[in-house]
Amino acid sequence: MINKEYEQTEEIIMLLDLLNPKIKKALNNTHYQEREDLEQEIKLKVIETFKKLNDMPVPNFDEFYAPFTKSL
Amino acid sequence: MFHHILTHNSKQILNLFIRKNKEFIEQPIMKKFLSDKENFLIFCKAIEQPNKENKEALNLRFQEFYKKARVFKYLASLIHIFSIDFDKKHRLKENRYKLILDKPISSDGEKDGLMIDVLADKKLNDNPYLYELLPQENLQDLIINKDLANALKNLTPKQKDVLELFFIKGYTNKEIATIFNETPQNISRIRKASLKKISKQITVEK
Repeated sequence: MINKEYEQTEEIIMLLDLLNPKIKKALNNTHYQEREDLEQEIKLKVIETFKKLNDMPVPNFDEFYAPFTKSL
Repeated sequence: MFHHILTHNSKQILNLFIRKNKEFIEQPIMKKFLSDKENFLIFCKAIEQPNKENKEALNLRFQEFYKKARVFKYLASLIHIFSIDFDKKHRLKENRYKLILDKPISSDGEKDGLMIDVLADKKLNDNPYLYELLPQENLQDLIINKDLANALKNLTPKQKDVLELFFIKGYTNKEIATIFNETPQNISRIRKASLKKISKQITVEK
């Protein structure tokens, strides 16, 4: 149980690193005085949303391929 | 893309699959998936030998990939939209609860100017020499870094003035433009060009 949470934390950290350019770019949408706050809020929102998204059902290869075989 | 690492026989089987499933292979998601070497190998293995083990490996691998791609895309868009909303909310709050200095003097709009333009600074009034000191601060005096100071020497006087007015005295492009009788766009161009010149020189020296 604990191992899974640790994995997820690692994943979130990697994700935030990956998204960092996007975050920096989004900071331009507000005053420079607010940028630090915005950065914190974005990261918080990302973490919250990620936890929800992670439980979303996602197709595997067969499921993704299936609609294309029907059209043959 | 990775065709060269396959055996001849594998290539034939793969090409057959591609021919029969052209539309599928052309899907952006499939292209992205197969652009990774590991993914490609697992995919080929499952096509050549569609036993339970290989198919399960492909399914799992694809699922992980798909999830990551979808999550990333969603979050990227979320970040952008969130920042716009955030800014909107802040502007609203700012306008609603204006700081006293940013408020207009008269109650019917900003015609007569803002408070910040009329209120006197007590500190300056008590110490006139303070006011004298501030305009004297120029670029050279404030730079400690040797490389940066050297780089500054290679700027034209105008470039130095623009940088000084912008960064030290906090003038806007518009204000600097009126001083030099230029367009704000040109001032911005001058500023960016000078910064680029400095950074080029510093990186060369390193």
